[in-house]
Amino acid sequence: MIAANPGGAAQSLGTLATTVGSADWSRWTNNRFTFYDYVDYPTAGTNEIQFFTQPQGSVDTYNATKVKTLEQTNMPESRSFGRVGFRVRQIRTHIRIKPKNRQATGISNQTNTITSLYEGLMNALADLVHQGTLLINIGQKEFWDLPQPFITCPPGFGCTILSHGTNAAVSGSQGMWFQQSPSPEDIYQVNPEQLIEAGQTFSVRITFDKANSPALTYLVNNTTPQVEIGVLFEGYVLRPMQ
Amino acid sequence: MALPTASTSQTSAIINPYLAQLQRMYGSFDPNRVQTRRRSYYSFVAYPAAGQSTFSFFGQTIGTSNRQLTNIQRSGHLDNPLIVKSFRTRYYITSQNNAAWAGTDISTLYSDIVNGFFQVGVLRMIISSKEWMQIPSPFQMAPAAYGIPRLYTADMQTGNVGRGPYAYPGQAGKGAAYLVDPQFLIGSDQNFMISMEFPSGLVPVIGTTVVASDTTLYIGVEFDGIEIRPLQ
Repeated sequence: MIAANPGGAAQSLGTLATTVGSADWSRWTNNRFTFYDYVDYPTAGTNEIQFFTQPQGSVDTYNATKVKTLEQTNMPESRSFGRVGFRVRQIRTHIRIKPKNRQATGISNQTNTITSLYEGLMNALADLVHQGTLLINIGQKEFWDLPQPFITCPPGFGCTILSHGTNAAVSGSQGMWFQQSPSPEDIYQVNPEQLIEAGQTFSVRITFDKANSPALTYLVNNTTPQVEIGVLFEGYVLRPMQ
Repeated sequence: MALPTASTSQTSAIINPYLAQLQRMYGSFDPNRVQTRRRSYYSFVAYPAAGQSTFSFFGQTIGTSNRQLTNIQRSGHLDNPLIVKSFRTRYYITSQNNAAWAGTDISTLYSDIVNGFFQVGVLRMIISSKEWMQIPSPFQMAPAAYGIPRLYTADMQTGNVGRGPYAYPGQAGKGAAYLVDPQFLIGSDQNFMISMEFPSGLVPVIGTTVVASDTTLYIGVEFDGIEIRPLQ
């Protein structure tokens, strides 16, 4: 877990002094921070999704009409944390269904989208979580290859759903709702922690090697739903003291 | 979370890591003349039905608002220095009107919780021009993490309406709280800014029959930590 005591953070700086070099680490600050990157899910299915390639203000890798904002990523540059170092303590993935009003007409304008029409999408997402491999390289070296990353590295946050409603007038609808594990105890802990130095490049991708990931085309009221897939690095950002 | 403390020895232990910072902020600062207590500062702002691109918190004071919505006395400032230990988001509505669900997305706040603005946005916190936090999907990642309410529903016996929906944004319990690490101090005169932003587009309220013109939905943020105040 992310440590709660301030002493723990300072202690880690001492460790860095021996591993990274002769910088005066007493002049650096060390704060909990999250670097994240969400991309649009390729709705036709895919054999690979890449993350952290397009920083804030760039066009989404899988949606040429969408410019990424701070809602999708806080990366200052492609495949790098920029001028800060980062101690990775947790890795999370997050399947985020776009809000109803950001969906296409045919979904956004229906009265029972959430309570009934999303059934096909939920069914597909429940399949998606069993698939894929998360591959993370730092420099040219592989550091993580994690199977079924949506299960292995869940977000560890999400709604508490006590019951999901359904409109019985929609024929055949089961009124499904899907989400990854919201339990903080399930978050993938990086132990020992991994340092990514300032300016160091890395790559993050999820590959689907057995079969392409599920297609979402025309799954909701004969319209294609839009989903974002995110990878979040949780840890401590190292910045010079100002 | 440390327990509320009162004794001088405990107070010294809590303050010591921040003593130099406090002395820089206030000049002479005598740790023997203050007491500590667990304290939270909170601020709620109205979420309009049409959505809004940016929400800024801690602007309204208890004098211009009321204790349900905030407990700060000076706009943009805390009453006393606070050692921030955790950070939470909340919402408030006078009536959620769960009994009025009609089988549609617009007749329940559940729609907003699972597929509305509660799912997106980004929360930013800036202290003295330095960005300390950027939290994506803040209602999920930094939930209230207290004892969330439970409402159990069963099938209705007539009409086309099946089982009623009910959810709460975020997880319950201390384990789900967003812990600040390392804990940091916000001085009573220190400028800070907390905003929730939706830069990818406004997210209107879906449950429009719940959030009717006479029932405002509020969203809020809360600092939870240890307050340092003068000994009296």
